[in-house]
Amino acid sequence: MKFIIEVKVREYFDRINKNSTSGKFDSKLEYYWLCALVGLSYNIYNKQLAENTELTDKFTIKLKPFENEIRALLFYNYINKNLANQTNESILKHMSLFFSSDSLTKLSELGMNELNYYASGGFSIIQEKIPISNDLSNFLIEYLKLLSDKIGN
Amino acid sequence: MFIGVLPNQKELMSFRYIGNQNTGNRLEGEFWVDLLIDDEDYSIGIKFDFENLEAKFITVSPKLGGKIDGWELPPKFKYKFYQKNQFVNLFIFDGEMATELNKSQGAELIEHAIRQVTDLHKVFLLVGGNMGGGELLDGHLDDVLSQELNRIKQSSVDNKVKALSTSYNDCKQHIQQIYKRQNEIKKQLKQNKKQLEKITHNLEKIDQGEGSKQNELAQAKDKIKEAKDDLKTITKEKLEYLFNPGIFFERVQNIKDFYKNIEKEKIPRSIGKSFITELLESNRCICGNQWNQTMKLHISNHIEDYLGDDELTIVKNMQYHVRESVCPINSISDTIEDLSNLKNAVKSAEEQLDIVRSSFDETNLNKIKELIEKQTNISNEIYNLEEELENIQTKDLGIIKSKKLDVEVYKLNGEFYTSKNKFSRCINLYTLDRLKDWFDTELESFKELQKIENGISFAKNIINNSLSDLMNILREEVIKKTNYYFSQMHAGGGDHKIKSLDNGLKFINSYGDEMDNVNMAAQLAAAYSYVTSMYQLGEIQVPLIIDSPTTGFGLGVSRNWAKEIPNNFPQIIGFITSAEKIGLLDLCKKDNVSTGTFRRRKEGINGSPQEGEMIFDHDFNFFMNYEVEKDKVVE
Repeated sequence: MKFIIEVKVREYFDRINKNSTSGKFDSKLEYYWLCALVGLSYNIYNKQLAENTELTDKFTIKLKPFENEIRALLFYNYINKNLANQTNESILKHMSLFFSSDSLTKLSELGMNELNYYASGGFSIIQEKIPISNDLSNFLIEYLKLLSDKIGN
Repeated sequence: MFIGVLPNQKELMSFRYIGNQNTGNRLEGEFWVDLLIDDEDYSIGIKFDFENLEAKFITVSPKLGGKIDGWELPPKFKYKFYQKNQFVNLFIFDGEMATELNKSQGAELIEHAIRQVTDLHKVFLLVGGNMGGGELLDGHLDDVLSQELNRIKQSSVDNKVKALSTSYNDCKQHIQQIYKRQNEIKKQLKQNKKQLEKITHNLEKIDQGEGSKQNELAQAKDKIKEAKDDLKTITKEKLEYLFNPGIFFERVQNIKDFYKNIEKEKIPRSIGKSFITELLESNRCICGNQWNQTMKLHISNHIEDYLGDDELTIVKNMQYHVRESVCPINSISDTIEDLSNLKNAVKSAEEQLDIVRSSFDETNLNKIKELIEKQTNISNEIYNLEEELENIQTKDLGIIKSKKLDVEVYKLNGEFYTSKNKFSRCINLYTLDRLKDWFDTELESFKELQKIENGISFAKNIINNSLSDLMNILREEVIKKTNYYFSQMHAGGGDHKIKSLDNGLKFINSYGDEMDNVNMAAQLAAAYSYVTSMYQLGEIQVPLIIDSPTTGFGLGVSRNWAKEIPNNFPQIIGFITSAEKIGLLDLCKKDNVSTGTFRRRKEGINGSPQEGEMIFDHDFNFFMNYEVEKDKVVE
């Protein structure tokens, strides 16, 4: 199971990567994660992915140190979205469904899908709120503003 | 009845009763023929249902155990007659048939009758050709090829290969052009970059020319570099902070609380499922007590309260990291401010350089303006060329899709466009290579099909040549036999012969001259001779049904006909007029000949009165004397 990225997301960020003089993303998964983080913050989730391609099946080098935190944030959103009545049994049952030692990301297919859907939902907000930029620092300034609007300073 | 083919709806209605309204049945009807085949009795019947416009065969025979539906005559009969319409047509002989055989239209009838009687029609069917019913059938060999061609929706392998090869060559040519363009771009980029270097060098030279401002210039340039480096470093740092969801945990307290609470609730428990399973299998609790059934059941019922060992490790690690997570960014607004300040620093450093340069003399200022303008244009050109080069070279499917570089090659359903107009708009070499590979594979598969086509063509040529030779021999045989019977009848008043069957029965006179026409007697005699020879060729014995067989003959030829022709058939059923009877009187007197008269019940031998219903009269005397002058009454 791989991370799935929509073509339009690549289009948006490839432009930054091509033109920026203030830095670049080292991997596509980095901007995929920025999209997912917005999706998770705003709790925006899109199951109908537009035209897309597969990325890697593991966390890349810069994200690897935070994979536990990423899974934790994702699972928290999943539980809140799907379990109206959170009992110990139901949380435990969903833990079994959500995580898997068979995948390099330690997420089951269900977990990977969740992350892909949040990345897609997050990009729709980025696309709406942050005009296409040619520079990474400009984008980051706007991105941080977008994030603080939701989670505070 | 003989060929096992049911009449079509129009033909069926011609069998419907058209007589007296009170006596006939117009809803249904039937017709039967009794046959003796290899000393076995068979009756083949056809039943008509005029209401539903249907007909069906019924076969009756002791051999079949009685009556059964369908055309079930024995294999030997079937082999000779089944669906051989052209051949069987010859059994029911009349003047029209004779006329047709003598005209060019008869050529096809003759040809197909020969094929059918010798069973060569099946071989003809193999190689194709008109089978005599007017329909042009594909040969069985062609069917093999047609099925393959239908699969690829093409009328011939050649057409498809030709079309594919043309597109393939166009594709290769287009790829070559793109490679050429790629090289041009690379060359152009090299030149442009050299030009940029030259411009930078020239700008440096101008700066150096302003000796008194060297220090100020150097400082401004250093500041720009420094500010840009700082911006780069800090941007990278801030970006990497965002990879850590700790930024989230610090601000959304619920997440930390959630994990804290479930940990408190011992979710998940610290031991994995395998520990419990192993314990259960050991039959003894860790305290040393033996498990009883109730205990075992209790543990089995609660085994799902524990996570699998692997999942447990994942979740425990996750809980630990949430607990220990540190927020990388204390204040988002401060971070934004840091980045903004660095950007401003770059901007002001660049402005500082502009200020220093603005004090240059006017000539240099104009030169700088001109060079910078040139620098911008070349940079833009480089940008566009690099973009084009990337579109040509990229193998990244994400980029190919996002830039729609493959839409002129792939259809929406994933198939390839093969039209040059389409694919020549694509510049991506990776996509074009996929198309070229596809052409390779397709053409390879057609090579196999071409082999089949060549094989079929070869087989057809051999069979056709053999058939042609065989048919020549058979035609010669038919002509020889036909001429033999024809000569016995002395019809037509001359020493005619049949020369060929190519355009119906064609005659020559005793000098060898081809004759355009012969008289009716000769035509009839020749037709009878031909039918007789066909019976011999087919080695069959079936009744010949003839209608007014000697109408066209004089008395002499009629007598010759009676002497020669009937002997060649096991049975002849003839319908003759009273005028024809005169030439056939000797025949009628023979022991193996039965006669009868269709007449009105009240009708006398002189043909009147024409009153009463139609009857068939077996009386020999009546037959012999019917419509014969009184003084010539046969004793």
